[in-house]
Amino acid sequence: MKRSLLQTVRNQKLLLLFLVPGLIAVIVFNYFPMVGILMAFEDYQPKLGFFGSPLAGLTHFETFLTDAKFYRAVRNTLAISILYLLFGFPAPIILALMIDSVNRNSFKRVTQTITYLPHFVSWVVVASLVYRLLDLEYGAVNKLIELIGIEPRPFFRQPQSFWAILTTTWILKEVGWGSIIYLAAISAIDPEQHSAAMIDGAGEFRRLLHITLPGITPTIILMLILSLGTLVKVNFDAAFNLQNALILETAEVIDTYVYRTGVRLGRYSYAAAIGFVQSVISFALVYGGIRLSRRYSDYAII
Amino acid sequence: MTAGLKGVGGVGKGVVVALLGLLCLITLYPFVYILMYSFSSGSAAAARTVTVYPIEPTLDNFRAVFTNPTIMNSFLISVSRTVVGAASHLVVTGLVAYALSKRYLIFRQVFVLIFIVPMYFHGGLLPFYVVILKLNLNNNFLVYILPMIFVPFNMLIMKVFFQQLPEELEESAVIDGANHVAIFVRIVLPSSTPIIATVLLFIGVDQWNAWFDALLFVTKAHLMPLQTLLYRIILEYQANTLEKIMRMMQSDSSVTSEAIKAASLIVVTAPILCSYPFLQRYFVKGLLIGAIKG
Repeated sequence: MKRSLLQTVRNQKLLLLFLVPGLIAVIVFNYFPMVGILMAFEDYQPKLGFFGSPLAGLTHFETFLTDAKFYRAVRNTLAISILYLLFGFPAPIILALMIDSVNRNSFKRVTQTITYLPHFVSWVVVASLVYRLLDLEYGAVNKLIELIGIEPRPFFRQPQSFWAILTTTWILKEVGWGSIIYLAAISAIDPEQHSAAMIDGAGEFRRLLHITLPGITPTIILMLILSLGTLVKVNFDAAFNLQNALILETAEVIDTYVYRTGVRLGRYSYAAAIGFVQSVISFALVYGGIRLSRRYSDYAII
Repeated sequence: MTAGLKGVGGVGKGVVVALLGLLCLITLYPFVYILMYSFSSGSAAAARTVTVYPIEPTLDNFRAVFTNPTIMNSFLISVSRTVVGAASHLVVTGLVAYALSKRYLIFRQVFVLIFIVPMYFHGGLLPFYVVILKLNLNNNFLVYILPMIFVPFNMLIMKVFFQQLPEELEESAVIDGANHVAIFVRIVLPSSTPIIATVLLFIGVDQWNAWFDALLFVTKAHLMPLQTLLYRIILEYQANTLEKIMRMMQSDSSVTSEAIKAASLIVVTAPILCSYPFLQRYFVKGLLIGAIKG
């Protein structure tokens, strides 16, 4: 047995060699940092490294669990995540249904190209555009509001607007990209079903309700379960670029809080502890979701 | 054809088209706005509001951007990291995908697991930050290339694509005594244009849009990518950097800092806007393969 194993390795030497660069990359940039989770349980000091820093047990975990700023970040994260789930999850589905119902292919393609656009633009650019659009004096949004007779608002100076700004911008940015998978699911539905329904006299709307929607329900459930795993995270790029010092009350999310306390303030272990807990919860949610999807859906993802 | 609800259907269709049109307008407007602003004389645009056309059209803003050493240096850094990053990524990730696509590969399941786990669990920002510093990758161009040289998702979609290639293609080459390198380069790659286009687009965009790694790890101005430079002058309100840029302008009073920002935003967004529509049919397929099989 052992002989043939070694022999196989010998035969596949070249193939195994192909794996080496990628292997080194994941080990160095993904697995080494996993070892770095130790930081959360130490009083990490850069000069002493992962294995030389003094142990601190659960001290840092206690620290953040009693920190009001941490809970503020959690509140903001959950609020934004739930808002995004509520509005951002159905949006691509509705968009896909709408695009699919259009008859002219050229209009379809143009709409898709346009709605994919924001996904490819960086959040630095998007945030810059949003700041300009919501500017108190020069922004288009305030100009529009003025036309209707409402007072212009300094959107980026008042904390209460942030959740809406972030959610709306995020949705508009990703709705096109998100619709791809639903459009594929819709087109995967057997056209025979539609033909049969049409012969029976069912109109467009009827067919939508009784054929299309049930047809894409497995996909919807799948995507829903997968997106549950992201509840404890908020897109870092989005939050970070849209934040400013005046609105941190509602704009600080867990990921930016970790950045601020860890990288900017140098509280390595403290930030590492928070990041670790967040990773664990996120993983648990995703893993739980995958197991759930196996039970309730026909699609086995992993 | 469609019984009964035809009248309602017509109105319904009209509403759908109108809503879709509205979405397109809302999506496009910010870009149109900034485009028009960038072609407007800076001082004039500050006095009146730009709507959908340039005010006192001029190329001065772009001229200022393209002659500014700081901005152009960052532009070159961004181009370099995109080209080098995308090419190296394709090689490293592609080789892994090819090897893992062979069912007879020994320990295949184990390797797949090793490469996939990072998609679902990672140590968090701080451990990554510390590792990079320990490797002395800070203020080093390689910090832009190496961490992104392998991406599990891209590997997955390539692997699935390679697995779907007909076996006969390889068999004739194997009979001729070709080794895996020859098969990969001369047979598999040329037959894989769609997936290569997809992956190149994904990694190209990720490299071009990357801004946070420079923020974390780079302090030297000459290594600053364009996105990070823009972050600093527009969002972080770093007055020094902006002042430095403005001071380098000719005493051309019509070019304002806002106009420079607008022109820079266009310069950083234009390459992407011009490339992704052409690759649309490829990446739609690529994304689906990854989502369904991965």
